[in-house]
Amino acid sequence: MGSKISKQKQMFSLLNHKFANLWEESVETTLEPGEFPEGESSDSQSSQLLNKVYNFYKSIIQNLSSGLIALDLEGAITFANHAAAHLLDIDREDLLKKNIREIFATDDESQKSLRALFIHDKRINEKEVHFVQKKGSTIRVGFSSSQIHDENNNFDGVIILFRDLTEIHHLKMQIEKMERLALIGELSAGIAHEIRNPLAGIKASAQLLQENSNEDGFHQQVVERIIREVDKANKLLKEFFKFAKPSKPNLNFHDVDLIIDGISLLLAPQLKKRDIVLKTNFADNLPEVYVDETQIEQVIINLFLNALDAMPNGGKLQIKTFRKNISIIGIEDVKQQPVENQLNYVFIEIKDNGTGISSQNLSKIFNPFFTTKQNGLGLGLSICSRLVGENGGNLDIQSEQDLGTAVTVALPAFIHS
Amino acid sequence: MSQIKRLLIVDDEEALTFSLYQIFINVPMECEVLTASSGDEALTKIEQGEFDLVITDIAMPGINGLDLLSMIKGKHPMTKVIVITAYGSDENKDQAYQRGAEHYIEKPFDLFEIRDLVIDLIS
Repeated sequence: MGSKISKQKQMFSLLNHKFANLWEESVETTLEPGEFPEGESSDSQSSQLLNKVYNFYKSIIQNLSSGLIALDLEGAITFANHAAAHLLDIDREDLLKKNIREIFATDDESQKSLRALFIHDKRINEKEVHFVQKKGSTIRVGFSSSQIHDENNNFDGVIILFRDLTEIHHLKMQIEKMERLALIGELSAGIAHEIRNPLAGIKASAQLLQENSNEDGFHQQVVERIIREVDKANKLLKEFFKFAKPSKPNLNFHDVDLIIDGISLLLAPQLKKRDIVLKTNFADNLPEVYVDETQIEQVIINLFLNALDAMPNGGKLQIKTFRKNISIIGIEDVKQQPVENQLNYVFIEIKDNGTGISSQNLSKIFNPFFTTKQNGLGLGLSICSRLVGENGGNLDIQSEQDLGTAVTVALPAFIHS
Repeated sequence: MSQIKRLLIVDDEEALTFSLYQIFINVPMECEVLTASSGDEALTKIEQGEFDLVITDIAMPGINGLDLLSMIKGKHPMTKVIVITAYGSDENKDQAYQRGAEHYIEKPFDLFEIRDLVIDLIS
């Protein structure tokens, strides 16, 4: 019997060794003290114990939110967990027929990574690469690798652990964008002073001339024109500052449906005049959003007016609200206990069946001063996007030429569970 | 305080101080109008005699307009102050009112409106 126990321990040791690099802490807690029988044990007990150990590891691997792939020395995939198949949008069986070379999105990334993967005793930590999904699209992943050794300590294969970085990358880009905008804001404050000061001097001088001129005709007209142009330049500057350095949002809890209802009421005469039918579809029990009401009203009005402009011959304007949640595990400050926070977003979708935006223009619509309108400044959407960002949300536009445009505004509504 | 109203215009934008000076020397009341192109110059003039009203820019060389405002209100609480600025920000506006400004006006402004405002304040 003693030899059986010894064999079990040997097998366990082997299992343990294979996963030690990735789950050292888990391994330590695998067996409670006393769980291994000290004395005699039956075959059935041994088999049960092995089964328990096997199921334990299987459960860990299959429930990982990260993808896990094991490779042989040729790079052939010998094992993949559910998350790996899910992240690569492929059936597990199909994934097991592939070589790791086929998973990398580019040859360059494949060659560089493979060289590093199969160098003896080499571990890769959080390397950023692109993997290709079944349908051909690519995902940005961060992967780490660890080498497998057999019982004689011979290099036997590689384990790759990877996670989807798309969302993290998106957030990183947003942070970088906000930092860039903050810098523009600071610069624009300086420019404001340099431009608005002489503008003030020009306008005051022109008005002084207006006050002291005895002529009714030509001179007065010219002076009035100077004043008008100064006011126009100042208006443009003010609009630009709204984009470059918006006021700090005055955040509070507000009902999105009420905001939309108010705007619908305000714009009802214009909708009627332009033969546009408004259809609303509000989700039940929406949480309140935590935003600056005035700024969000400004955004929604702007988006409504854009939709109206896109339907010169009438049409249908559809407004839909809904919510989405993201679970985040955080640490509560005082107790240092992990808590689950629900990061909630309320979405407002504004959809028209108007002229739409060409794919060429779609990539430029958030650029300041880009416009297709005759009298537009080209700041409306960039200001909207900036204001929504300042309120902790996101603005997204989908459009097809001649079919219409759908604008989605995501606004934060935090609920502590 | 004397019947002659004393006004001080503080701004480093010469075209603006000139226009403001011209408009105020012609208002229908007895006015002595002085100008300064910096906060320090303004302080020297204030030390030489109290003013009924000061119009001051914020961003200037030396002492800025907000600090000048605090000094004026600390020494001569009855002096009315209008803050003018090309930096249109909520922070500046809040600061100006917290420090006791009567008005906060963004540049470029309407010369005739500011004239009416001043007459109203010192009449």
